[in-house]
Order: sequence, then C-alpha cells, then structure tokens
Amino acid sequence: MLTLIHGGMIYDPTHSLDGVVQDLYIEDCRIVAKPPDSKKINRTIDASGLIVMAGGIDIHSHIGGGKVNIARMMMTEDCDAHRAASNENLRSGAGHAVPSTFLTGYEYAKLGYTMCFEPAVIPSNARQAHMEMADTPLLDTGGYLVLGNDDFFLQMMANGTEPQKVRDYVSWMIDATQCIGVKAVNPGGINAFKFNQRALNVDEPHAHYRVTPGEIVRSLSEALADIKLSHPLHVHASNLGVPGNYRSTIDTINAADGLPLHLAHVQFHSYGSEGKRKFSSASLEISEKVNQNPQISVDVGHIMFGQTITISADIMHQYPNRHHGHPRKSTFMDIECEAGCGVVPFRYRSKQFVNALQWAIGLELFLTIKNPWQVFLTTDHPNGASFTTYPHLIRLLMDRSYRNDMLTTINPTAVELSCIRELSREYSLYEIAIITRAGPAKSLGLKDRGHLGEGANADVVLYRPNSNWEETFRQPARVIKDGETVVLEGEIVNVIAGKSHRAQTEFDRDIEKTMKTYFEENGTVRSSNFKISDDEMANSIGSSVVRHSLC
Amino acid sequence: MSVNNSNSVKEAICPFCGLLCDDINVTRSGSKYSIDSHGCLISESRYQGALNSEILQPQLHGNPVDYEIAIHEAATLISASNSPVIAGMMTDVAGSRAALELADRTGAVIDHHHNPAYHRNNSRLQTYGGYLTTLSEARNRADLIVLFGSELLAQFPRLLEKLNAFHSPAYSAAQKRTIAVVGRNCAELKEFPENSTFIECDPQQAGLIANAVRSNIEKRNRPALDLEFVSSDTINSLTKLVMDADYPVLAWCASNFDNPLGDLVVDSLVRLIDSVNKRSRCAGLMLTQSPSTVTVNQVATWQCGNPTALSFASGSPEHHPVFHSLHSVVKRGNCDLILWLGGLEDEVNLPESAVPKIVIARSDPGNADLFIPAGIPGVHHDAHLFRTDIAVSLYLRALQGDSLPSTAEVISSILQKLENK
Repeated sequence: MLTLIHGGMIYDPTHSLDGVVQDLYIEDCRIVAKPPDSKKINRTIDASGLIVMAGGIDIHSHIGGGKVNIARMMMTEDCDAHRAASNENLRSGAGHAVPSTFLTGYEYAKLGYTMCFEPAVIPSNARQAHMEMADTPLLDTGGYLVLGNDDFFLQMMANGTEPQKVRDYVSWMIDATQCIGVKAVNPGGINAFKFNQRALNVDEPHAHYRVTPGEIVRSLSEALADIKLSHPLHVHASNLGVPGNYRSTIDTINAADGLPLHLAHVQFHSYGSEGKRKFSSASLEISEKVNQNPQISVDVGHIMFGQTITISADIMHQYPNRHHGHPRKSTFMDIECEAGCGVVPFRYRSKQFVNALQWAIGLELFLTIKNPWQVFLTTDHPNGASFTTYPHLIRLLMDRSYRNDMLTTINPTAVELSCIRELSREYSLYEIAIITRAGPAKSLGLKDRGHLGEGANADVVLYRPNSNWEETFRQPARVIKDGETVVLEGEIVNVIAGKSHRAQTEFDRDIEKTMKTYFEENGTVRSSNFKISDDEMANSIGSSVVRHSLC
Repeated sequence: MSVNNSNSVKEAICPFCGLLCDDINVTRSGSKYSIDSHGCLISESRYQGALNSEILQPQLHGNPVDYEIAIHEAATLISASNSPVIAGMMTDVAGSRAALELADRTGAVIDHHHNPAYHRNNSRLQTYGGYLTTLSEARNRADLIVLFGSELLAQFPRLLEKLNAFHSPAYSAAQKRTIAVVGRNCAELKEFPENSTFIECDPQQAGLIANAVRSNIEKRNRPALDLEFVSSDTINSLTKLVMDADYPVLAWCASNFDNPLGDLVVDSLVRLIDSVNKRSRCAGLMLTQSPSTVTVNQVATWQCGNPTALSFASGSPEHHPVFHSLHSVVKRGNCDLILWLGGLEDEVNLPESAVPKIVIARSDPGNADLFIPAGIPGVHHDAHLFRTDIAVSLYLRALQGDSLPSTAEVISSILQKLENK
C-alpha cells in the first residue's frame, strides 16, 4: 500500500524543513523516498494548504499506573460530570482531569499525538502501568522507572558500592520493568519521608542513609551515562512547589557536574521567595542556567486554570498539600520500599495570586529558554492541567496579542510581578514542531519518530492553518498512525493498538544472583515473578515491545 | 515461576488469597498434584480441589452439550436480554477486560460479589482519602504492626511470615518489632512473637478502640473515651506503642466489619492513621481475601473511571456501589439475565430470581440454565491478579494448561457470536 500526501507544508525540524511544500510517501507503516514513477500509488491525500508534522510525542504525562488509578477512583465528581458513551468504533469511558484509558487514547489521537510516556513507573507497579497503557489505544507508550528512593539503591550508596554494580542494578531494573528511561523523584526524599524526615535539600543528608539528593543525582546520572541510555536522568528535583526552590533546581543541575539531565515540570521548581507574599517567579534564573548548559533539557509542566488532580510519587511534598485539596480529600501510599504516591485534587484559580503567578512562570520559561530543543511542551498531565489544554497553550505561545489579553483575566498582582508582558517572543510553527515532537524524539533516542524523513514510522498529522492557532491544533484535519488514518476532521475513524517502547540494556549476569537474594530476603515477591518478559507484554499485558538500542 | 522438569514447578503463585504468595513449589505425580513447600491451609486445600477434581462438560438445563452449542446459547440469551447483569466477577485482568467489554456492548450492569467489603475501604478513600502501605513496606519498615481482627491469621495464613514478624525490620533504626492484635478469642492465637500484645474485643469495637487512641494522641480536653469492654490502661498502652513506634502499621480486612456501620470502623482506623502522621509516621495495610476483588476493581477503574458496580445501560459507565449492585438490581426487577463469573471461587451465589442464569465457573453449575466450565486463573490458564495491597500485580502461569478455557476466552467467544448475530 503506497500513499502519497500531496502538496502539504512540511514542518520537520529534524531535517530543517520549515514549511517547505513537498510530497510525502508512505508505504505500509513507514515513510519512504519518492518511488519510481512506474510504481503505482494506491491512495493520494490532498494536503494542499495544510501543515504537515510528525505525530506528537508527549514526553511527560501521567497516563498509567497505580497512582493514576487512585486519582481516577477519587475523582468521582469528575467522572459523573464527564461520561462518554460507546459506539460502534469506540468504548465508553469517564473523566476529564484524569480520564479512563480508552478516552485518554481517543483524546490524545484527536489532538494529533501518537506517542506518550508515563514518567513515574514504580518498579513493583510496572506491570499495572503497562496494562493501563496497553488499554490506551492509538498511542505508542513507554515508561520511566522511578529509582533513587529504593532502599536497595540507598543502601548501596550508603555502603559505597562501586559504580559498576550500581550500573548493573539500574540496567537490570530497566530490563525487568520494560522501561525506556529512569526518573529520580525528589531524590532520596520519598524514602526520607518514611523515616519522618519532612524536608530534604540537595546537599542535606538523608536521616537514615546519610546520602544527599545531590549524590543520588550524580550516581544515577553516571550510571545512565555508562549504560549509554539515550534519555538522560529524568529528574523531578527536590523541594517541589516550595517557595525559593529554584535554588534546589540549580543545585540539582550542578550536582550532575556537567552530565546531561532532563528536568521535569520545571515550572513547579522555578519559584522564588521574594515579596510580601514570599512567593515570586525565578523563571529567569532557571532559564539562564538552562541557556548556559546545553546538556540540560526541561519540560515545563504548565498550569491551566480549573479543576484537576495532582498525582506524584513525591509524597514528602504532596503530604503537606493535603490541606489545599479541592475537593478536600487526599490519598497517600508508601510503596514496596521503592517509592510512594500522593494524590490530591486541586483547583487552580485565575484570581488567586499564587496560581496566577504559576501560570505566568510556565509561560516565562517557554519564552526565555532560547533553544527550543531544550524545552518540551507539557502540563505534567494531570498535575498542571489536562493534556487536552495543549491547543490553548500553543496559542498562548504563538500569539502575543492573545497572551496579553489573557493577562487581564488573572490576578493583577501576579501580572505585575511577572516579566511576561515584556516578553515579545512568539513561537513559530517550526518551533512548535520541535517542542511537541522532534525534541522529545531526539531526547528519547527514538530514531524513527518525531520526523518525516525516509524510514520514519508513518505517524503523520495534517493541520489546517487558522489565525486562531488553538483551533488549528484542537482539530487536525487528519491523523495517520502507523500508516493508517485514525482521525478525520475530529472523528476517530479507526482504532488501533499502540506498542510499548523500551531500552535494550545489558548487565553483568552476576547482578541476577544479588537481586534473587534481595527479593527473597527483603521482598515479598520473587525476582523471577517480578520480571516482565516480552512474551508477557505482548500476549497478556497486551502491548508488543519495541526495543531501542543504546546511543 | 520456573519449571524444573515436567513434574515440578518452583515459585508458582498461589491465587487463593490476597497475599499472592509466589514461592509455592508444586509437584505433579501422574494426574495428581501436590504442594511440596510453602503451602498453607488455604492453598493446600484449594490447589487440591482445583487440580484434582473432575472437569465438567458444558450443561444446558442440566444436560451436557458441546462447547460450541453452549457459546451459541449464551450469545442467544444475552442478545435477547435488555438488562443483563454480570456478577460474581471472581476473575483476573483478562476476564475483567472481557467482561467490561461485554457489559459495554450490551448495556449491562457489572458487579463484584465481594463489593460490600471492598466499598467499606473504597468509599472512605473516595470521600476523604487515607494513608496506605504495602506488604514489603510493612515487612521491612514497620516496628509495630497492629492487626485489627484475630481472624486475619486464618484468612491470611502466611501473613506473619510475609511480614517477617519474628524479626526486627530491615529498613529501620528500630531494634525490635512488636505485634499487637485487637480482636476476639485472642487467647486462642498461637505462634506469635513473645512480646506481642493482645486486646480482646469484638471486631465491630475496633473502631471505638481506634477512636480512643486517637483521642489520647490528640490530647483532647476530655479523657480517652471510656469504653466498657477495655480498660483505659490498655488504651494508654496501645497509644504509647503507636506513638513510640517509628513506623506503625495498622492492618485490617474490611470483610470482618460486616454490619451496617462497618465503614465507620474503617473510617476510625484511617482517622487514627491521619492523626499519627501529623507528627510521626503511620500507615494502613488493607487486606482483601480474594485477589479478584482488587483486580476487577482496578481494571474497571482504569477502563471506566470508577470501580464496580457499574451500569452501562445509558451507554456510558455509571457507578454506584449499592444502586447498581446485583442484589439491588434484582430486587428492583431491573434484570432479565444474570451472567455469573466464578473464576477463583468454587461457590456460586446466585440470588433467588426467575430470570435466565448463565454460570461460567470451574465446577459448580449452581442452579444455572446454562453452565460453561472455565479454568481457575493461575491454575488452568495464565493470569494477572492484583495483590491485596493494590500496588503489586503478578503474572501467574498455568499449572494445568489446556484443560479448561479461561473466563476471558469464553466471553470472547460469546462476543464473537454476538457480533455475527
């Protein structure tokens, strides 16, 4: 099956194509070079006047796993208010802030997204995360394994275990849990909270293990560099949401000592403590640091006003947030000597000073980090807002006039204390293509994603230009996944299953003996039953595995 | 799990209680199976029944029929139904996925047999939340474990072993571990660590004890609640144990609080945990007997946004734990067919009703009009089940594969027939 997408404006930053009118050929599920004239074209899609981009890639969105499901269970009001009926093609579902799996897949596809990465897979919960993602249709998925708060790792650090063994441990864990990256959430802090330590700065020792978050970041970064994992350590830095936490964010970058890091939802980590309310924007300090350090990337974790639910493994900082819950309820869990989770519903309010300034800080970061390859578009779904707000966020980035109009609708003191009005930058379509697909693909080492070159997976989106960019990105004219049209003018016409992407890692087999003993003595599951095989993924979990080689 | 040779399976996972012990060694001798090591009273008897009892044929009105005819008949009954109810639901992830798809396609109500106990915990979490922990955390961190219910050891025979109760916790500064039991007939409990504490009371009074301890901790102006059945010294001792511990864990099984105010017992326990956490640390360990209860409700929640009971009558999933329960629906007369999924449990508990009944189960046709045998998850077919603590799910491999289809396979066959109709 050979398909021609004719006459579209190609935005493919990987190949420096900035709106070039060019034909695109798809054979089965791959993009191919222009075939010889003798070869029959089976289908032609007229893309004249349309924007053509690769499928969107969300590098950080909570779509599967225990804490997401606790959030769904707690959001009864949200589910009651947002129920979607089934039809011949689609399954039913419920929820807006944290939708059920089928709805998540449908809504992402309708926005032109074809890949999504769950950023907080707790090892013992990996099976569930993969099962939920397998039930999320139309999206290829993957997960980042949460390490750095597990007692096994912290004991290794406390005992001064040699880096080679740490590397083998990390590598084995990635393999056993079918993940593509590693995430450190409040490094050491989740574990410290189990010892009733309520705060932990980057250079402060853990009460029991006496290691610091900075040392943990350094150790895991070194391990990943040694493993040659494409995606650098994905860090949710210390002091989430705490005024003045920008210092922790900068200290975290410094702790990696020049090794690459990805800083997750950096908006929540760019707060100063200036002014009457002891809460201020420190976005410029963070931008400056990122601009000076090309080995650093960030995703923003922008907030939008309205009801959502916050879900994080960072139980140390979620626990105090229980007082701010809306509705006032919260669930927490310490999990398997590996991590934890805290789930707190939250309503961001435009007239509330702190929330309004958080909104401005997110935009400041987008607009002051100079290199778009270092910043990715996220709302840390659902923590900052639902991913369904992405079209609105794109308009805020692309349209200064609209952005400034929005400033009149939020808390005026927050506007005064923000530099947002002075920022004249408007994102181009080319830059939007970088922060929503080309950049994430490059960071994750997905060589056949995020671009439209020969050999790329045929995930292609056609958008209709509109002076209101929100309209453009709200409803693509066509979304093609694996070479199949799945969305046409906002309607899902074909539902296909996604695949699960993971890193191919190697390790010294001796670590298996160590892990066997550890699981027998300290675990409540045997290591043989902890591991998830490719066969289990494909045949029972329901998502076949795509292995990515190391960089 | 690993297969040593054709006769011995090591590290098999037992599906018969919420602990999902995964170190069972099973040996086959001829056509008979036995557990060599790490068995318990529950697993030994359940494995024995599951593996060694006769495999039945499908039955229509009590008469044996071919599998294909049974599937055809099931599809005919379901397509003729306007308001089917899928009940029992003692199944695995694949069975849950299939049953939810069937419910979605047919506008059915779907409910789990053990939901009354499940919702004692869940309604608390949905309304207020709570602070929970898992088995490995309790094993390695808890220097105090308070078991609310002396029945827990019969319900979860290897619980103390799982929690490493006779040894101090590995990831703790504490040098010892204390076990306390709040329940009835404590004098009959054996094989507890020497320094264990026992507080005699009825399970329904556990909430009052938790309230009294909380009252002490919060140093309210009034003294600890004056309880007739327990002395204030006992309450003060328990308060001291909880407050002196680095990481106390309160464990309970909501099925033991089976009375109209049972959810308030859970509420009291969770409030006590909240109270302790303000200054030190504490967490709850929810124990659930059948792994299917957690499994089905996890799958329902991720696919539908809410746990069962769910009604798809309007086209989208509507949740209500009571209104959409099997018994409420039958009582209202809003049901013209019951499909019972037995899966993990032998006993079929169909309500009194004249509507047609289909049973998909291992061996008990109940009083079904149509019976289709299906295997036990993790015994006759590979299965995913969730452990009692919600966070951990495991992949159970079949011990006696190919002898019986899975519930998911049976429902898939029915769905296929429905599509062709």
